[in-house]
This record gives sequence, structure tokens and C-alpha cells, in this order.
Amino acid sequence: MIIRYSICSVLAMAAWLVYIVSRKSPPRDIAVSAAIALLGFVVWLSIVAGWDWNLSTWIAWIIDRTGL
Amino acid sequence: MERATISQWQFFIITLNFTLGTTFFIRPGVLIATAKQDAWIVPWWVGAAGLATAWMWLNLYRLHPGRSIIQICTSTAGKAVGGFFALLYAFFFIQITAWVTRNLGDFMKTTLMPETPISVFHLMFLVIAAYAACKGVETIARVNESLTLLLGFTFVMVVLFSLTEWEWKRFEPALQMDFWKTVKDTRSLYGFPYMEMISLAMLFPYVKGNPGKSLLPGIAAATGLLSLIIFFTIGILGVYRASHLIYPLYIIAEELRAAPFIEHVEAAIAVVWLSSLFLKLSIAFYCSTIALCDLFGLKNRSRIALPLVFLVSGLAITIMENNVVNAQWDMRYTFTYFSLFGVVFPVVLLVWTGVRNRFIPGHKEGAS
Repeated sequence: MIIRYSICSVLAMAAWLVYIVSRKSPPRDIAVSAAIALLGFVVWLSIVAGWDWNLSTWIAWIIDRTGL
Repeated sequence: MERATISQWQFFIITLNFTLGTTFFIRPGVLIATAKQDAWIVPWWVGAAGLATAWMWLNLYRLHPGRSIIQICTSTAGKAVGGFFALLYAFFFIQITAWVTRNLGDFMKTTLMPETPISVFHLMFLVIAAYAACKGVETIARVNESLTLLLGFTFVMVVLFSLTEWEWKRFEPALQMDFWKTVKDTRSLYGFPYMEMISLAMLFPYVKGNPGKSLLPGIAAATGLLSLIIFFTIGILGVYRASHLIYPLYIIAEELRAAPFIEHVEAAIAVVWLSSLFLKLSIAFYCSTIALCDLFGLKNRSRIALPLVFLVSGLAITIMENNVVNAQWDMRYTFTYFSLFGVVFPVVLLVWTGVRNRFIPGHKEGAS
């Protein structure tokens, strides 16, 4: 499942990058787009792999640690 | 930055829909559980606090005319510190978008299509929101204008046909709440929806004229409508039922009997109300997109809209485990976390701007 997801996502990201490069986008646009896609890939990988993490729990931990 | 302008009226409608978008679905049950039959009063004081905070954002904007909150951060505090603030804001806007998406997915899964995977709803709505973001703020404003009438009409019809269930005794005994305890217990309402409206500071530069003339009336109108919705929910369902439901307004629509041959209109009504959630999602998504564009100096929004759909749809799944955990998180952390972005950072930026204007010659910005 993870391998199938990774292959599909990487192919989709590569296709997207080829598309924006072919449209002569500025390098900065391409870099930010690739960075966001990579972040999305990691988030979805964590979901598919069943890693137990939660954004709200992290925020709660920071608030508790800072004593707010 | 996009060369677009929206009228005062359009910004008023955007403010109204952004404030009420998910609030009218989620908040009434929680507020009624906390403040019982007096819950309809709660939005008034929280709304007053929200208005005061929005006034502060407008003052900040007055010192930096034509700049979004991201640009204000970088122009005030410099590229390093200001950039860090701006990055936090961009993350916050993305998080709000993920929250709205999750609320929408939860609603669809709980009420209409329980067998469908939640990510299907997320992706479907986000792709449309991304398309709206690519088209620009004028398109979003026009969609808001055209759909608001339909939304208002649906609300009025639901309330009118449900009035047969109305009982005044459901408000008795009135005004029995412990004021300070209720203020403390309902403080999360100040975070969501009032503090998350800092997202609208991304749209200030697009408003023709003074954005305050539509932002403040928009917040006031949304507060009044929220109070009215809670009032009707108590009168029709009663405190006990309403406080045990996740979506009390949907139950009102479900039990609505317009005539002996018109039944189960809840699906049609839910679809109309979904458009309200979609309006909020499209505004939040647009704000996230332009926040990233402003922060990294990007020329084309569409280049990041699609990757952002990928990211937000994933975050929407991982942002909370379930509704119960979310309710606990909301009670404990929403006020603190949202106030950081709605109050603390704007105050820091205001003070920073004031100090720079006063003590560093040649730094007086937007003095006109």
C-alpha cells in the first residue's frame, strides 16, 4: 500500500513539476510549489503508513510546555 | 499582488459568510450545553470583544495602507523576524483551511454519506476551492453575493416551518447563569470564529475604500445572526436535546414537516447549507494561497494552489482524531492558540510600528 501510494504520488508530483517548468514559471514559484507538494507527500505518507501523529496534539503540547 | 478590487458590500458579505460559515453548524450545541437557556446572550459579549479586536487590526492596517498582514509583518519587523511571524501566519491560515475542510467532511460523513471515505469529500471540495482561488478574489466575492440570498431564504423557511414546535417555557428560568463562569467556559467562541477572522486581513488591500466600514458591520451582523440561530434552536429543540446534538440545526431541518406530502427535505437543505461551508472554505483557501504568495514573492497563485490541495487534504485528516477529542481541545486550547494570532502578534506589530515611526526618522509609513 505504502509503495503503491509513494509511486503514484511521486509520479503525480513529477508530472506537476514538468507542467510548471514547461510553462516557464519563475524558479521561485517552482521551488515553493515543490516544497509544498513534498510536505503534502510526507503528510499523506504518514496517513497511509498509519503513523500516530496529530497536529492539534503538538500545538497543545507547545501551549502546555510554555504554560500559557 | 493581484490587481483586483471588491466593493464594501462584497466584503461585508464575505465577512458575514466567513464568520458564520462553520459556526452556525458547530457552535450552537456547544454553547447551549455550557450556558443552557441563556446561551443566546453569549455571542453578544464575545461579539463585542471580537469587534474591539477587529478595530485593532484596522488600526494596524491604517498604519500600513495597501498591505496584507503578511506584508505588514515583513515590512515592520524585517525579513528575519518579520518573515518568521509571516510564516507562522501562513501556517495558521493553512491550518484554518484544514479545520474548515475537516468540519465539512465530518458533516458530510455523519449526516449524508456515512460509507464514503472522508478524504473523498475533502478532495472534492478543495479542488473547487483551489479553482476559485485561481480565479481570484472578485470571483469569490461574486459567488458569495449570489449564494447568500439562497442561504438566507433557506434559513428563514426552516425557521418558519419549525415554529410549530416552539415553546417559550424552554427559556425558563431565564438569566440564571453565573456570568463570570459562563464567560470563562465560553471563551473558545472568541477564538473560533472571531480570532480566525484575522485571515480577512489578507483581503484588506483589495477592498475599495475603508475595509472597516464593512468588516465591523459584518461582524456585528454575524453576531446578531448567531445569537438568533441559538435562540431559535433553544425555542424549537429545547436545552436538553440541543446540548446533546453535534448539529442541532440539521436535526431541526430533519424534523421539518412543511406539509403532509413534503417530508425529508433535510438533504436538499443540507446541500444549500453546504454551500455556506464551501464559501468559507474558498475564502480560507484563497487567504492561505495569497499568504504564501506574499511571503515568498510568487507571481502566480495557480502554481501553488494544486500542491496546497494535496497538503490541506492530508492535514484535514490528521488535524484531529474525532469530534469528542476536538471538543476537548476546543475548550482548553482554542482561546489561547487563536489569541496568539488574533491579539498578541497584532499588538506586537502595532507597538513595533509605533516605536519605528516615533524613534527612527524616515520610517513613517502610511501617515496619510
